[in-house]
Amino acid sequence: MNSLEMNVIEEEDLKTSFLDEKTRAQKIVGNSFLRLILRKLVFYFLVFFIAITLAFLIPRLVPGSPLYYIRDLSGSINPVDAAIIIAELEALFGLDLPLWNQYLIFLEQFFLHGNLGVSINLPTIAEPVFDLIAPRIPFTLMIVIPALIITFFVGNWVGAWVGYKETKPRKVVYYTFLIMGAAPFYWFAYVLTDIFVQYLHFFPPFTSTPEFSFDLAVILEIMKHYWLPLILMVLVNIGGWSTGARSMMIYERGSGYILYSQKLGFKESKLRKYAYRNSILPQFTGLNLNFNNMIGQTIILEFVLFWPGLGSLMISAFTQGDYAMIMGTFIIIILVIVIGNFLIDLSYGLLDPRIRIGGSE
Amino acid sequence: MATETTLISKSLEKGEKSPIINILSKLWGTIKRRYKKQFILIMGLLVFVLILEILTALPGMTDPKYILFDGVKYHSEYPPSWKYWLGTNSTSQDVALLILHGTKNSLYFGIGCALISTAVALVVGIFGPFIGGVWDTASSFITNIAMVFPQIPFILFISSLMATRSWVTVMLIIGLFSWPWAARAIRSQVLTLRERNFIKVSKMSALGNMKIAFSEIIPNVLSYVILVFSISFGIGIITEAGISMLGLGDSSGNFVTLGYVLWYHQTEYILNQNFYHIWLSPGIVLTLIFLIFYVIQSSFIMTFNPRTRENM
Amino acid sequence: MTEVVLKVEDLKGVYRGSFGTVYAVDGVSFNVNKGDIIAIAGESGCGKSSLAELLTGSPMPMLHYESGQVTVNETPLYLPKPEDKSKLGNWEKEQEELTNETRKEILCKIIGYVPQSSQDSLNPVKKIRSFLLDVMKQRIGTKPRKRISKRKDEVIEDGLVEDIKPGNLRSEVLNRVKDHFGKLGLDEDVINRYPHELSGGMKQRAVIGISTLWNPLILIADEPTSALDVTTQKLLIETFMHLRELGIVETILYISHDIPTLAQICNKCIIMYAGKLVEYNDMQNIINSPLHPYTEGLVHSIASFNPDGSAETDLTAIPGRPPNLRNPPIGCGFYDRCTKRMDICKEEFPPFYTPNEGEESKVACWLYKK
Ligand SMILES: Nc1ncnc2c1ncn2[C@@H]1O[C@H](COP(=O)(O)OP(=O)(O)OP(=O)(O)O)[C@@H](O)[C@H]1O
Ligand code: SF4
Ligand SMILES: [Mg+2]
Repeated sequence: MNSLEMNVIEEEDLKTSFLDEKTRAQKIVGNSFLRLILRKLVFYFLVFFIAITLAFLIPRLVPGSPLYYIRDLSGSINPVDAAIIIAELEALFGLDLPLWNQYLIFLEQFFLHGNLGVSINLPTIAEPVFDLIAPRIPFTLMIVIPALIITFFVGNWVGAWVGYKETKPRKVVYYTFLIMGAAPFYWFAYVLTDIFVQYLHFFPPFTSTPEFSFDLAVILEIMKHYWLPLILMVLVNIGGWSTGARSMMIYERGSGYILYSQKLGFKESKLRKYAYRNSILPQFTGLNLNFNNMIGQTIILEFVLFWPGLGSLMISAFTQGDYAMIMGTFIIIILVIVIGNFLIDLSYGLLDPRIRIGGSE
Repeated sequence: MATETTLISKSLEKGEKSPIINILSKLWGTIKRRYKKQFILIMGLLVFVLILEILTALPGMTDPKYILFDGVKYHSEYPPSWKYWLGTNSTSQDVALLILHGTKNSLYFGIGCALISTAVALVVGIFGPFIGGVWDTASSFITNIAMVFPQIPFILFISSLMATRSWVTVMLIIGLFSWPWAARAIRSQVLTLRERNFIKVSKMSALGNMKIAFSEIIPNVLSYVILVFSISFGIGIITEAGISMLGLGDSSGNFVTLGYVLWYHQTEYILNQNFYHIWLSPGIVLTLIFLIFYVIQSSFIMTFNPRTRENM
Repeated sequence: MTEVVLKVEDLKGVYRGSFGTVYAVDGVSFNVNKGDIIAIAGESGCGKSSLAELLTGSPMPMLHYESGQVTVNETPLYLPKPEDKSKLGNWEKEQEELTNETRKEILCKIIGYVPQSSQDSLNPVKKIRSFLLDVMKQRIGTKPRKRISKRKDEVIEDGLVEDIKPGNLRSEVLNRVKDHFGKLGLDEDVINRYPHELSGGMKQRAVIGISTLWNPLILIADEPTSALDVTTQKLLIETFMHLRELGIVETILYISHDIPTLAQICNKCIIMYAGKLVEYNDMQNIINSPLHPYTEGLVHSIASFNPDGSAETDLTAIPGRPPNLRNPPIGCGFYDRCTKRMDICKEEFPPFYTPNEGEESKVACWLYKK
């Protein structure tokens, strides 16, 4: 798809169209938007299905039992006991059944009962993992969603702003973001913590964030911890967007319609708007990829900054060898990603009439 | 551009003795001519790796985790000095040496990842659209699905399920999960190339599919391939560092990468926050590596887009 | 006496960039009378488009005015560059202001410009309608209103877009534009489409339509037919003739390297070579009795004139290549390829001669030295 040819529907165009055209357009738009939703729904369901199938298969295919961590016990428990424990756990997770049977049970439990198994970590033993995971989801989303929106607009704006006129102060801003984006974010988290927590005391010290509850004091405490990961996600992701937007802008500002519009007597500000809009539009296609990346980054960041989201839950499950929890968090993360991508595609379809009507990628 | 490639196809038509060698030498020529700057940058990087290799092979520098003990006392928590450029950590190891090894291994790791993911991307991105038909549909479908696959969670998931992970396994996992965007980029480039005339002409002149792919398409997507390679290089390094940070990297502890050094010094950060040189340095080295990649990548923007170049 | 509408005197313009300096227009002078259709011809890269850009008074970013003057309707478009380097900054500022003034007052109203790349001259994310409204807003100050207000609306008297005032109704303004587009053979519906939904010819005509909305005195069209197939080319040429018949434009500068087409519609011709004007003559004379050896080669390299005016142009028939404009030769630029060259040709650029007394023609070639 040629991104330069992408279009946005214009408010004004909708408003000023002639009446019959308007209704006709609405009909087409309505129908094809529905079609787009259906098509995307099918596609993402397929993606989700394949992903969870892989999630099901991989632990059963990698060398060693998925319950490998029991080996760690072998020092403290005698081998016979360890074997018994492993056998019991395998029975608990149904790992002793034939593969296809396990798969069917897995699908049935997941799709019909929303059951992801039970935790075997001591403090939360025998609790359904879904109940443990659910309260963590908002914690992850409250970082990823605002960060995605802010970085998209700010990053592209910075890039286009630098690209349009490359003066020194603008370049300084641009390269600062670029360097922050080039720094590994988990390391940058330490740098920021050092600056903001150790020296400036802007944020509470490097300790764990409380779990959510409907208590004003707790909510305020959570908010205090919230800013650092959010700011970090924003700072490290602006650079990537600006690089793209800058080169798009440099390209656009020399393009035919800008030169022609200038000859028609357009003012500088309007030309800038034209170039800006055309250089931002192709960037929308990067949203999906960036969203996926951000989820990945957040997982690691949550662990580094003790933020009680999905990622830190997943990683602590790794270290504790909590089998059902590993599977559960993983599947929920995939679900979040798939739903997020679906929504991004839909909003993009709203913006771009060509995707909505033509429906080609 | 067209003349170069027609030259290649002409020599192919003539049926010269060893087409493969011929093609490769022509490819080589194209690389040298057209992508001189990028070529120099990448070569520079390889030379840098070589220098690191030599340095780390010097006597006394081969073991990054060598414990500095002079028979009387452990040299732990020394500040930077002429002897220990970046000081020593609380385990009495030379931080500079750790970083030297880490940089070298990270770069190797990056090259490995980039090779794997670029190879997969090439296969999926070039041959699919080129052969057409079912292959095309299949490759595009696979790419589209893999595009929305969450790479980092998958990589973490798989790593966590393995009792022992050697660095090769980690490299394979990362490499095999980071090709989709590259395949897509190459694919769209191939699709536009397919519409260009000289490909159609070569098709008409009854050159075999594979020959066209090698003689016409690859030289023309080469800039893309090198770009993809350099981006994958960076992604490999940063992803490895990220999962090493979580302790999910190479489990033997003998493959010291920058991510490993970061992870290794995590406790240092918590215990001894004034030892900036210890935990800042691996991050700074990583940042510098990324900036170098940025330079390489932005030099490509110019190759792709002369107008951008002139306006810059 | 015929009225001179455009006067070009020793105009020089260069491209500056990381590649160095390209002397794209190097001392071009000619006059355009009211009602002329002037062809500007020459092979690719000889500076036709650059000349056209300079004539608009608002050249593209990398093309810089060097010296000379362009006078449109007795209004100069450039301030002479000062000799003194220290005054250069000041001059740049003043020239910038003059350029802005030119864009407002001269472009569209006096000079209409159809760029060579008119295929991508329309903003891809705007429907033609909303682009037009933007044009109106930029030129008039406010967008035409959507609804009738209580205040009495000004009525547009005749079909001229010129008279559009801020108070006009949007639908009325658009009707007027549709009318104008209709004259160019464009469908009413075009206005409601995005540029990518138009064919090449339609885009071309839409650009011509937009450039001629204010009935400019002079229309500069830069290779309007080059990207089109033969039938569309013919239609487009008819459109130009039609524009003239309707009195929308009278004077046209038509840039092309397609001599047969030019011969059909133009009465005068300028031949450019390597940034310089080498011959200025009546179109008929160019075809029948060219003066400059380059013109001769150019005309002879056309295989034949087909009845429909199309012909194969094969410029490679003149052996050799034009000189590199980064360091143009001191002598005649055509020296390397000229069959009639003399020693003096290499040393000095020939002045203009008018071999046939009484004719309004000139040629830059040592052959005509008396
Ligand atoms: N943006 C630019 N930057 C640098 N040099 C340029 C630029 N545009 C044109 N030139 C150079 O200026 C000279 C004149 O170019 P110009 O576009 O005016 O030629 P032209 O006669 O219009 O050719 P064509 O028939 O192909 O349109 C050419 O030698 C070209 O190399
Ligand atoms: S000046 Fe000399 S070289 Fe140039 S065209 Fe005339 S005869 Fe030929
Ligand atoms: Mg031109």
